[in-house]
Amino acid sequence: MKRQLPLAIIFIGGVFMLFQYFVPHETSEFFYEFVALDWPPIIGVFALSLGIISLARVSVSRINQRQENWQYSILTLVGLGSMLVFGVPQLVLFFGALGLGFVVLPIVLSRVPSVPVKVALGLIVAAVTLVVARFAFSLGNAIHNAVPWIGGRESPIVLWEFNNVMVPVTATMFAILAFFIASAAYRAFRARSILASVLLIAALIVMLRFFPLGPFTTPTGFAADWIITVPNLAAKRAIVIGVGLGIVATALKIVLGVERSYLGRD
Amino acid sequence: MPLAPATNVRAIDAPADHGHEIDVNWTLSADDGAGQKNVMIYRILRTPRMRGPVMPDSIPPGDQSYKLFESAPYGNAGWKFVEGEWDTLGEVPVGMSTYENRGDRERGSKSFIPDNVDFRYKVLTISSDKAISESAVSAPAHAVGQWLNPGRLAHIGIPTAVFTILVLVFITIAQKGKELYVRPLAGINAVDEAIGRATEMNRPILYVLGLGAADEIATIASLTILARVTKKVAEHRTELLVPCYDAVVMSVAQETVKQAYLDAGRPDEYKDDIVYFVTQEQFAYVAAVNGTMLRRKTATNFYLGVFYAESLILAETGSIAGSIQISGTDRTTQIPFFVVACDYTLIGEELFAASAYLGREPKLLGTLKAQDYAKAIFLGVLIIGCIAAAVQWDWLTNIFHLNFK
Repeated sequence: MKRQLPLAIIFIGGVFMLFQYFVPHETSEFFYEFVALDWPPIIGVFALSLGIISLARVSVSRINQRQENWQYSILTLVGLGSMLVFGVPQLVLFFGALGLGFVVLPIVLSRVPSVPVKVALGLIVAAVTLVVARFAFSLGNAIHNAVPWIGGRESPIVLWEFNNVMVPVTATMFAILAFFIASAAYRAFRARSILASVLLIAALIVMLRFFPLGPFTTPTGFAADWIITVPNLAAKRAIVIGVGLGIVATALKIVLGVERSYLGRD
Repeated sequence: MPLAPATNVRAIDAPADHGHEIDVNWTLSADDGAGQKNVMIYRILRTPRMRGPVMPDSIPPGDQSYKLFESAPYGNAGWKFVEGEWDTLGEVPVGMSTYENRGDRERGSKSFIPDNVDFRYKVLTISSDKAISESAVSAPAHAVGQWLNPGRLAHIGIPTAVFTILVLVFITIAQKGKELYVRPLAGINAVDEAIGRATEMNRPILYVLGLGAADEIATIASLTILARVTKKVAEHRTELLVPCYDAVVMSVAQETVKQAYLDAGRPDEYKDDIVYFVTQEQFAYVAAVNGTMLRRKTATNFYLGVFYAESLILAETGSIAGSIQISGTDRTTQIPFFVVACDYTLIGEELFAASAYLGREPKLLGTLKAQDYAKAIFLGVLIIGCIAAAVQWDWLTNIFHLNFK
């Protein structure tokens, strides 16, 4: 059952999506939007909370084990925490209260031997947790209303962190690409074989089309355009055809349950 | 001389659509291009005029000019239909004789066009000196949604069906025990070597699933390869690191890796920290993965999935760190970067075939064989198409023209 149910869901979903493509009627569109467009963000939001927990756990583990450069993990946690606290205090308090409830619940239940009492106590703790979580959410809203720079997209702390830390750091990472292109090009264009030499000559011609070379400008431009639009495009299209067939084959393998490696033992 | 009007105005339901769309076409004015007047534009009008939307409870009781569209799921709305009054829909420039009246299907939208309600159209021809001439009113037409898109069925459905049959045939052949030859792939053959190297060096293996979401086939293919690789890694008791960009992918990868450790008979070796979430910011993710490569000195790096600008940054850093690198992506723009910077690259479709190669299961190899035959068919069709185009056999080339929604 543990294997059959996911396979059945995949088969039904896959066959539905296949037929949906050929049915333009709005009923079909509605189901497509419901299944393919509405569900993923909902699942994504819950998965993101798992992601945040995973990141926090891995970082704490690195700090505890004093792994190499463990100090960076402190920075990660500080960044994550400050963005959460100053960005969405309501959610931090809400999930904090829920989390506390999940911690308290097993402790309470473990001390009670009788099953009916366990059920009753469990329900009471769950109800109290939900009420407290709702109150905590309201508290977060009240904090945001009282101190406008805490919470919301316009929080100056969040904006400062984003504009002065996030943006320059990611821009720097992107800028490194230019140097990596140079080093990769150097390795690729070393004329160690006939094919590598052909690659080098083709690359030189394509690069030279951007330079004014007097009487050679037109023939160089023509040669570069020919390289880009004929052999390069032909190779690209060959890959795209292969990719298309590969996508269909992989989809079929998964929908038909032929490929099950991601579910475990065959 | 008065301005000649557009003639023969026809309105028809748009074909192969979800409804809410009507196509209008007409014969150009005699003054369009050739006449004495300089026609500038055609203005398209429609009756009855739709006023609204209004809240259903504000519709006056007994007022028959209102229609209520309350079919779920798009919400309820009331619209007033005024016969004889005209809505101006839009304008098209001189020389054009078609107008696509594309309406919204949302009942509460200003551009909503209801299905099964008759509309009539007329076209105003307007010249540069502001002269206007009016066409005759078209016969009524109404929009209706279709249940089949014949264009898609012919151009995509039939080839897909043929390919599916090929796949099923080869799976059956493979299940009967016939040996199927598939050409060896260097990148796949290197997987065992790469895992063995990491084991000998006592260094971790890094597996990057790319930046794709869980609904992308390249990511799914990568997850299937991850399962195979993890099984081998678990058998060798080598450390595995799977930093994730997408939280949903992380959740799926955690289950995949956990199951692979179980299958390898080493459930105790599995730790929750093997697969972990990093960030959903592209270059922050790259920074984190690069840091991991340089700090942990990973012996082997796998980059399999969807990659964008980060491909070269990752691969070059791995190269600097001295790792053996196996990559694969379906993004044609990133393949050259991987080819240059990695030891082995799975190009395009090879990424989708990798799991079958690693598993060596007859059923999966059968699908690879079907792919090879499908490619042969495509190649044949391409050659025929080239010959037909060269000798101008238009009847043959027209078969391959894709003209559908």
